[in-house]
Amino acid sequence: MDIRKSWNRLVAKLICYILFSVSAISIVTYAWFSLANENHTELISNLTDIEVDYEFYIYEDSLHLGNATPSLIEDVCNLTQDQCYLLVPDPTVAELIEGSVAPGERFSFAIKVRSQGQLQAYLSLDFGGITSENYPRVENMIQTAFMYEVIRVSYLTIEGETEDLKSNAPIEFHTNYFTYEESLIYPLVHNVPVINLEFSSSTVIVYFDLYFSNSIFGTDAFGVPYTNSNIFMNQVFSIQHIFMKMSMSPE
Amino acid sequence: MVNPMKKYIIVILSVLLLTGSLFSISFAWFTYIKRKSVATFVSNEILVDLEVNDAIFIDDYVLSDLAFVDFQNDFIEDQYGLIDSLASSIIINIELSNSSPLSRHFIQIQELSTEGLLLLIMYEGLDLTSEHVFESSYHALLMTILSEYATKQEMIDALELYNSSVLEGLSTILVYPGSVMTIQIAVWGDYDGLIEKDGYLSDTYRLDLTIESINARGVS
Repeated sequence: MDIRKSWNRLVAKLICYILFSVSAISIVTYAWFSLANENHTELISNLTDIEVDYEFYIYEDSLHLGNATPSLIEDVCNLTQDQCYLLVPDPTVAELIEGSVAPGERFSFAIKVRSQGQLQAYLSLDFGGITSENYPRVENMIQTAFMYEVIRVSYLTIEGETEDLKSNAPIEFHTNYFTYEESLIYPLVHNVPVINLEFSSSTVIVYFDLYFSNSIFGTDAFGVPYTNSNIFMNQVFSIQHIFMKMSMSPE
Repeated sequence: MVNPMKKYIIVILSVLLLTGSLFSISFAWFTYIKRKSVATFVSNEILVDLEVNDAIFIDDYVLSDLAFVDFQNDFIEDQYGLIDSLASSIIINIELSNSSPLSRHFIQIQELSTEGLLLLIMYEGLDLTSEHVFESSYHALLMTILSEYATKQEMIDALELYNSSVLEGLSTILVYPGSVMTIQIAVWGDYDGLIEKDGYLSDTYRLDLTIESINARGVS
């Protein structure tokens, strides 16, 4: 009987300890959130808006050559200029690239991400909502002739921009063609630290290009490759979404 | 009667489950996604309108004022100072439509019928204004091309080479949508070059004009 009583007492103590531990953890966790809340109001929506600012730029280039040596510091458009990066304030609709595009042409873009907080975060960019219109068969969708490529990942410092750091771990960058799958998510770059302690920077810029290949021609109904890009004429290609994901740790 | 241990175990499991959920939710809060749009690209076909001497060029163009000249006395030496005014001038406007991509024009001009024509091809420019003065000092230009050659054949070859280089140079010019490229062809009849001189004034002399327009980074 005594053994049973002491066993029950032991279990009761154990439960008390567990409840105390859980309460303590909850309080600490809540305190942490409260601390964050002091600066950033509501977490889910405002953490993103306040702690991290995004800016999206399209390279204005009437020659459609793209920018092989991109720099936002030097190349941001003041007014209506050419060969400069134009800020697109809130690209909720896919921006129509001026003029008709043709094979061999290249288009440059940049996304600037600035951390307002002290916490390290990791940026990932993925394309989605890839669509082609007016194509004769899925094998000849214009999107299959478009390639995406990360050109540069650099950080803004007091002196300017750092060199290209896209090859530095844990950054993973991708160069590939879109397929005819419209529902796929296409990774562009992953695990980009927004804060760079080495350069004391909390602003990272990802420069990427879209290239309309002049060596992809599509195929006829029998699978025989065409010898030119004419099958892509009068088609419309859209990238409806770029997903900008922030994580507290690399994937 | 329920074993009190079972109660404790249920309570412990519930608390642990609640705790686990709390951490999962907390962690989820630190990964978020923002979605924006990128761009739309339109790939139009290349459309070109052709005008010859201010008339829409459809199938052919008839030169009604072709003059035949003496190669040495008129064409080279211009003894009477008339060679410029004797030329038949063809102004060709190549207009790239506004919906076309950035393009280049590959132009070929071939004399199809006889060897009785002398051609001088000149590039006038892009998007000419009304103040533009077309080249009309043909003989001066001819002398810069032909002066170092002695025989007629050498001069004919040099003229053809010059014309080819002009056309080749045109293919390197990037033409923006809506732009108009203008070239001029001065034509003379070469009386000495006629194979059949009888009835030459009623003969037909044909020039074949081929314009291949491709996108700026395309391959002809």
